[in-house]
Amino acid sequence: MNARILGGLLLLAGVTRAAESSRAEQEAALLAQLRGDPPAAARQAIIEPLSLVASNAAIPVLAPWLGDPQRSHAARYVLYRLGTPEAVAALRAALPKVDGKLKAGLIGTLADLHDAASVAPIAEALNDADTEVSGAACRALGRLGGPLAAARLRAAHVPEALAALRDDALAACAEQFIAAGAKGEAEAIGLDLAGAARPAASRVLGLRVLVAAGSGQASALLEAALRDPDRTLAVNAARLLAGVPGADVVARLSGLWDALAPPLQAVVMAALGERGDVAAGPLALRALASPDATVRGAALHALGAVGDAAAVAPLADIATSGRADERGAAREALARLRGAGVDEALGKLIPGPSAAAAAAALGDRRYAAAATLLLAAAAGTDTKAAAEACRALAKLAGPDAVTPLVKVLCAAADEDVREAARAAVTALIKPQADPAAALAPVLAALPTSAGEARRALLGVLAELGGDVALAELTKAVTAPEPEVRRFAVQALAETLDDPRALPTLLTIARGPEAALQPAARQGWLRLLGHQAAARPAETVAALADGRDLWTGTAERRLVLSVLRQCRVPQAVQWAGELVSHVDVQAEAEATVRYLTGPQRDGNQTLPAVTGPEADAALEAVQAARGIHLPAGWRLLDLGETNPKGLARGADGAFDLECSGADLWGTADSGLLVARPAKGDVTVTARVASIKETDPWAKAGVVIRADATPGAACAFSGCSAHNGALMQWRATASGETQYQPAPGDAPQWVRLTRHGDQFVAELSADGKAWIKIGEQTVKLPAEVLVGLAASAHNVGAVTRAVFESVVVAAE
Amino acid sequence: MPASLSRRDFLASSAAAALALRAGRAAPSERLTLAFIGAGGIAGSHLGPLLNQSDTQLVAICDPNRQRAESMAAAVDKHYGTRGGRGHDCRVYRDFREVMARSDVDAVLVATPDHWHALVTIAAARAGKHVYSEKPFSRTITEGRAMVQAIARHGVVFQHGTQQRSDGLFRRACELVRNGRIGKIHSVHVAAPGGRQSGPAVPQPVPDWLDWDLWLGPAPWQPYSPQRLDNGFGWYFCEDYSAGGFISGWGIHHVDIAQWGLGTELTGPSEIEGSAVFPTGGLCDTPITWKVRYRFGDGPPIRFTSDDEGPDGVTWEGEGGSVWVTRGAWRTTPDSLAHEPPAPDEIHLYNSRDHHRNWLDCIRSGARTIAPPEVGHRSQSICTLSDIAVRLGRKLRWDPAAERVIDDETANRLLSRAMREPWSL
Repeated sequence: MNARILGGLLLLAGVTRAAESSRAEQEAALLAQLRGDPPAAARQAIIEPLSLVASNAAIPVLAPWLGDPQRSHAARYVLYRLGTPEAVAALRAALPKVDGKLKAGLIGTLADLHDAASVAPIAEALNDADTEVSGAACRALGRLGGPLAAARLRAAHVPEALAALRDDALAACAEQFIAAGAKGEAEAIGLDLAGAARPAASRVLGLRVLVAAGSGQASALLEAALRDPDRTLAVNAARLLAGVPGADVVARLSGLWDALAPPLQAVVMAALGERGDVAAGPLALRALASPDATVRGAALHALGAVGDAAAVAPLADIATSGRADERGAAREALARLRGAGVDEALGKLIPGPSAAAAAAALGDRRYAAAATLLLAAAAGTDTKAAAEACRALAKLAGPDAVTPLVKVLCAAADEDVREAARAAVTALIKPQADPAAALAPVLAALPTSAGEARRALLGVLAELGGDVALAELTKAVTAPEPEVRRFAVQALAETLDDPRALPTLLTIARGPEAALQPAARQGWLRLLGHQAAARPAETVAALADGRDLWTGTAERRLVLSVLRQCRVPQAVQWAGELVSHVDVQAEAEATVRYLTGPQRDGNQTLPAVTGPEADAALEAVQAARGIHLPAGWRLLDLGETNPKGLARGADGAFDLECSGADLWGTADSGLLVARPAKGDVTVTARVASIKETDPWAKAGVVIRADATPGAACAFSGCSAHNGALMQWRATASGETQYQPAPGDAPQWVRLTRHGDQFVAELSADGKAWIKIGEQTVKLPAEVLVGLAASAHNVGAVTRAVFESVVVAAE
Repeated sequence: MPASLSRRDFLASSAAAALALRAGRAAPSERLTLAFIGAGGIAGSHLGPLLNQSDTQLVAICDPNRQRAESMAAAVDKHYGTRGGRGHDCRVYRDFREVMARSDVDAVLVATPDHWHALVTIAAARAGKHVYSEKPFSRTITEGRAMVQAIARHGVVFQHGTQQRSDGLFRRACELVRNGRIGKIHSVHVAAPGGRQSGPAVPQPVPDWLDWDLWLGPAPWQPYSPQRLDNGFGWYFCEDYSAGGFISGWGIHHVDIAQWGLGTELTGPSEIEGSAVFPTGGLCDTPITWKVRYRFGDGPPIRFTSDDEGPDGVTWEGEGGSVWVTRGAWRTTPDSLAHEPPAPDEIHLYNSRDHHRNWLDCIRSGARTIAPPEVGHRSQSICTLSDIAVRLGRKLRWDPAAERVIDDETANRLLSRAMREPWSL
């Protein structure tokens, strides 16, 4: 077990402060190991557990290490976690005895320990010529804080390169003063940093300190900074000012508003929006009139948080006729406005120039009391408002709105209104306890409707489904109007999703009306697909009857999607036949591979389809891709790779080209070229070359349970530049483990199965073999044996060349 | 009960800091200049989204691994070169301090291994640069608090890489919980992917493209091995560099969402305990599976486990229903809850639609980001305390105000560690 984990788990044995003897024993054992001067690589495995059990007894061992560049960090690691006064004293004592990096490290650790006694010696290091040391001193004094640290930082003459670090440390000291209630000290630092002669970044720090300290001078300095030519300073000042608590801040900003440049106005407005103070509402309304788009955008957003009923009309106006990129923001703001009278103010805009926006907002706000008003608007002459009113009613109305909405639908001359009414009727009927009974207004209107209205009503029925819908749509396919017939067929094919429509669709697909045939064919196939998984034999029989319908690309694609769900030989055979159709070759190949390999479906495994039909289909796939392999060998893509793999093989020589992420983890991505085998077997090959698409591009010999990416397997191979290895995945979709070995390609590799034992070997010459590893992997008796490769780079294609490939069954 | 944030703290949406940018790329003088600190795999995931922002310019890539830095800089130059730029302006650095010294860099993205997050973030804040830092927040609790203080002191804009907060599904789930739609909460379960076991680290000579001493930085010295450098089965799962491997590395995402839903983002638990299964050998030494329980005062118990104990994600169970959410999916009981947005007078949580864009917009406006530092530190603290609890195997009583374990000297020793010289906070 990993020593570091063991060290930690020792503590699971109940080591607490009460069990001091056990901790002491562990500490003694670990110190004894350290005294043995273990190599550096092994040291941390001792240091980590020691850091959890160390006592002052460790100090004499570790303190001398503090001056040793190879061991100083290890000593600090333990002494820091020990943290006793004695440990801190040992660290402090080492400070004057070291320099450079070691000193910087010690300074950092003393600051981590909040050792106030270290402030003075660390402050001395502010003058160190080594900027790593003086920089560490700056940071440390900022973390330690206190009057001495602050004073030394303020007085220090640090090089230019460290000035910003020093100022950061001063600001950190100020934060600690504020936390301790010493606001006067903090203010002094803030005023120092904010001085006009300071760089902008330091002034920002200072202003921030002054605000945090509640300094009475903060607001005036912030307002002055707003007018500073340095943009960083001005922007930060704007944000800070907008965040200052107090009722008069908004009034002050309103007074300054016109003097601010637009970018600053936008920043202020965004900050006021975040602040959420409704006193900013009038200012935000004023900002809506800005000629600057960013200011208006910030105002639109802010109004959602700070606006009230007074904002309704201007926002509705923008939502109606503002710039395209502002209308959406205005609508969002209307939806979020708070306070009394907002909904009523929206209602007053209907009817009117902004009626559509107001209707939309009422829907967004789910203001149910507006239903009557909205129904009137839906029936009105303003078509934009009518459509929005219908959409709003879909969100907030009750079932009693269905009948008037049906009337709107039937009377509408505008397509948008009619569609919105249709959607609203559907939305209001769907959730009702008895949707069939709720259909009554729709059915009542159907006989007297015509044209677009009739189609819209049929559309409602199609979306809702059920016996009545099926009956009406079936009737409608023979309607006198061609557009109604076309709509009804489309609805049966695509919307209704009811397999009882299959006979009707088949009849139409073979009927005399050519315009209806494509939709009917495709709908028939689509609906067959919905039942295929549950009734594969029946589906295959139906497909056989309907072979005359597999006429175009769309139909062939649908056929393949149906076949994917029928794991029977006939389905594989047909998929193999479709490989010869160029327009669906890729889909047909994918279907063949899908059916001829086992698949995971939730917790169950779907078995592969095997037999002569499957073999023939796989041959067809390989022939179509120009893949030539010895008899019985198959090319099988592992995972989704782009491009797909290619392979050629004859007389023991194989050439694989593939992409892929890796042969690793819980699922492999690359290429498998393999043949079935049963029982004990050995596979040997010489990996002649691997193109280095990545140092971890891999090629080797493999024995797998199957061709699924996560199959249990064993592998013996090489990487392009990181040596050879044995890999194994003990269970399907489990993690992969490995054992490394030296040696890149060219290399001989061998993998032998004896029952559940797998042995991986390497050789330079094919004669003298070295074992890489031996593992237990439970695989079925029948497996796939062969070659595998991956580019370890999904954007590249590797080429792996193998020679002398032999699969020997034992 | 812990303090809850006032509603105004949450009344913000992505429109809060939206800019009216003109279509197309912003003029060079108006662009935010960015630098990446760390050029590994996770940095690559940020490259596309940030390169495609019209108002930013990526000007520097920094990594002690020269190969990675150069490869990423070349990709950056190629991107800008095809868009009318000069195509060679992205500079490569080995040492992040040189990037911080550049006055023309406005902001940095920190995608280093975890043990570097604190020092780089604090250096950036001191240099006045805004920060987007990948999670986990920090390696130790002491580091985390120092980060929060430095960011506040310098007023820079910080975004923590808990990007699930900018995913509407998680926000809506938390809004349901915060608005009491499932009634009084009686239990919470947080589950994240488990850790890993690896083979040994095989020491090798340091390659000439790597500054190994700088890569190690404040972490204890170890000899170089390619296995240690690999984030798939290396440093990511080593206690020297990460607090508990996936307890922090993945767990913080869902722990953070649990905090958001419960409204406990600015505080910490009062007690925590747990157990874990550790690797039996190899380089990785962080938990493979774990079971942790914590609670806030007399609030509901919260289970935080690896996902062998339950569905990945966060599940809140209340007297009136339940909500489960994970990436790309959620489920409410009753189903109708999923269609109930908050009313105007209810809590509307911060609405960010894009985590990078939110950061960039907040840099310009000064508004708070959706994942600010105090929130990140508190979520991380739960993960770090979980790691400490499973290592010690006993209940810890935590004082979230003082940020100390009550009456447990050993546990308090694990809240921090001495940094390798010359590094310090």
